[in-house]
Amino acid sequence: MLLRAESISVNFGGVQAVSEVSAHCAAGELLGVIGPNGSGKTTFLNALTGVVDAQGKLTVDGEPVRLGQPARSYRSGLMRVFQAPQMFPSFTVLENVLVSSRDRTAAGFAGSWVIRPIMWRHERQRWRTALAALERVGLSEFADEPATSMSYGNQRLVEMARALVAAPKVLMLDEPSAGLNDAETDGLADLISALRTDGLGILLVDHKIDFIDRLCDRIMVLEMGAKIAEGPPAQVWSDPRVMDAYLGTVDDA
Amino acid sequence: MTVPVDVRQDASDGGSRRTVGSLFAGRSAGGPPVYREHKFATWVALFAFIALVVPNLFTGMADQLSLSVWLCYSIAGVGFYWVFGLAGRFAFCQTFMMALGGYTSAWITLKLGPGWFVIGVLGAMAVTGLIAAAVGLILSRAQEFYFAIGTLAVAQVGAVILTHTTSFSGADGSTVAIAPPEIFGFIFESYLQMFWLSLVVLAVVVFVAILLERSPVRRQAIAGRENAMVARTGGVPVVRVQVMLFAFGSMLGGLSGALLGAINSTVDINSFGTSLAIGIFLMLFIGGVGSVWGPIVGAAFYVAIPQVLSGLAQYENIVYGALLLVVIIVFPEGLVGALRTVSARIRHRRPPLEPGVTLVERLTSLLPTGIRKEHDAPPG
Repeated sequence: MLLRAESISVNFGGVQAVSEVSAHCAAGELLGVIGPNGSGKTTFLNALTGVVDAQGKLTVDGEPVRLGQPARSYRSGLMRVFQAPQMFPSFTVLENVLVSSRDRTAAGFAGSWVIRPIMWRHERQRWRTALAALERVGLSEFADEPATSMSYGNQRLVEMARALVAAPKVLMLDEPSAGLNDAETDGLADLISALRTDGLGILLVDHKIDFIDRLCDRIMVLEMGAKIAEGPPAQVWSDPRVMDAYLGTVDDA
Repeated sequence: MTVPVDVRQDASDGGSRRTVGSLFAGRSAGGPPVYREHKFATWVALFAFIALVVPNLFTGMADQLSLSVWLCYSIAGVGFYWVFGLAGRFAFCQTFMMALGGYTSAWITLKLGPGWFVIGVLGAMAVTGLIAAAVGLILSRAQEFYFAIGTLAVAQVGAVILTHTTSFSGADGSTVAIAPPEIFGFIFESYLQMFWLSLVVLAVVVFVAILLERSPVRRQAIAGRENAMVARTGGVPVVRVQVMLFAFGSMLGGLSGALLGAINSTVDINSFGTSLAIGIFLMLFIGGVGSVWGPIVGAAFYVAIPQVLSGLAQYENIVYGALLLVVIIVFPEGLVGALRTVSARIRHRRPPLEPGVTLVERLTSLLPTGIRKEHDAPPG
C-alpha cells in the first residue's frame, strides 16, 4: 500500500477537527474525500502534509512519516495542491514551480559560493524539469509571466506543476475543480487521469459529485471530523448515513 | 516509484519556442529572470566608477573619512539586506554586531599585535556569525514582529554587557587607540588608503552577494518570506535558510564594525545605538530593499545628506526629515528600485517583479499573522 494513514486526529484547542480517520491509497488509485463544509477534509490533508499538529500513524511506501513536520511529508513524497491557489507574488510562473524541485543538490549556500559548477548543472536540470512540468499542465508558454497575472484556473495548474516537480508518490488535491469552467474541469480530469496512469496515488477532495464519481475508485465520506462511510461510489451513495449527512446539505456548487 | 515528469520530454513542440530555445542557448539564458540580469556588469561599472571618480571628487581628509564610513556602512547594509531584504527577518541587532565586531577585532590586534589585523577581522566575523546563529536558532520560531523584539533585546542586553566587560571592550564600552589596519606589513595610515581598503572589501562583499543572488538560495529565501507554509510543504528548509542568512548578514555587520574600529581608531558602544540601528534600516529603504545595490546607495544618502545640509544649522534636522519623507513617498521602492523601473520602461521591458519592496508593504508584513490577511487555506 502506497499511503496508509491510521487513526489521524487533529485537535484545535479542544475542538476535535479530525478524529481517528484512517485512509489508504494504492499506487495508481484515486481516493475521493467528500463531506459537508467543516467536516475536516482540508484539515485531514493539512495533517498529512504536516502543517498542523496531528496524532496517528502515517506511512508512505512502507516508510513511517513523522506527523507535524512539512519537511518530513515532503521528503516522503506527499505533495499537496491548495484550495486557494498559493502563488509567490514576486516570482514568475517558472520560479513558482521551481520552489519545490525534488533535486536539491547544491541548492544551498555551498552551491552559491563554493561548488558553483555543480550548482549550475543541477539548476539547469531543475529548470528543464520545471519547464517539462509546465508543459505537462499546458502552461509552458507562460513560464516567464508573473504568476499573479495568471487566471485563477491557471494558477491552480501552476500549483499542479509545482507539485509535480517534487516527484510525488501521493498527490493531494484540495477542491481542484473549484472556480473552473466546464472546459477547464474536463482538462483537469484528463490531467488527473494521466497522473494516475503514471502510478501516483491521488487523494481528491471535491464538492462536485459528478467530478468525483467520474474519477474515483473509492470514496471516503467525512462528517464532523469522523469517517462515516467508505467504498466504491455506488455503494457510498446508497449508504443511508451518507444520504442523511451529506446529500441533505449539499450545495451542488 | 514513478517520477511523473519526464525530463527528457521535448517541450519545443508546444507554443513555448521562445522559452525553450533560450533555455538551451547559453550558460545563463532562460530560467528565472534573476539569471538574466547583468549583475556582474553592474558590479564592474559601479566599482570602476567609485574607484576612478570618487577619490578625485573628495580630496579633503574629512571627506575621505566619510567615504570610508560610507563604504563600511554599505557592508553592514548588504548584511542587513540578506537578513531583512531576502530572508524577511527584521533584526534589530545589526549595529550590536558591528560593535561586537569592532571590539573583537580590536581585542585580537591588541593581544597579538597590529600585524594580526586580518585575523582580527576574521575573528570578528566568526564571533558575530556564531552569536547570530545561536540567536537565530533560539528565535527561529518567533514570527516577524516578535523576532524584531527578540533581536532588539539581544542588542540592548549585549550593549549593557559590553559596557561592563572592561578587559574586552575597554572602560565604559570604549576601546581607544586601535592600531590602523595592517596587512602583510603594509600599514593603511591615511584616510585615502583606508578608503581603498574599504572599497576592495566592499567589492568582494558585493561580489559574494551577487553569487548568492544568482543561486537557488535567493529563491528559497523569498519563498520562505512570502509564504513560509507553502514553501515548507514544497520542501524549502525555511528555518535553515533564514538562520543562515541572519548569521552571514551579521558576519558582515562584524566585518563592517572591525573596519570602522580600525579606521576611527576607536570603538564606542554609544556610536552603535538605536540611532544607527534606524539608520541601517533607512539605508535599505532609501536605496531599495529589493536589491543588493540598495544599501550602498542608501548608505551614501545617509552619510552625505547631513553633511550637505550642515550649512542649514538649526534647520538641518527638519530639512533632513522632510527630505527622507519625500524620498520614501516619491520612490516607495527606493532609489535603486525606481531606477530599475525607469530603465525597464525605457527598454520596453517589464519592470522587475518585486511586490513587498515598499516601506509600507514591508512593515505590514511584520505584523502578527492574525492581523493581516490569512495566507493559509481555510479549514473545511
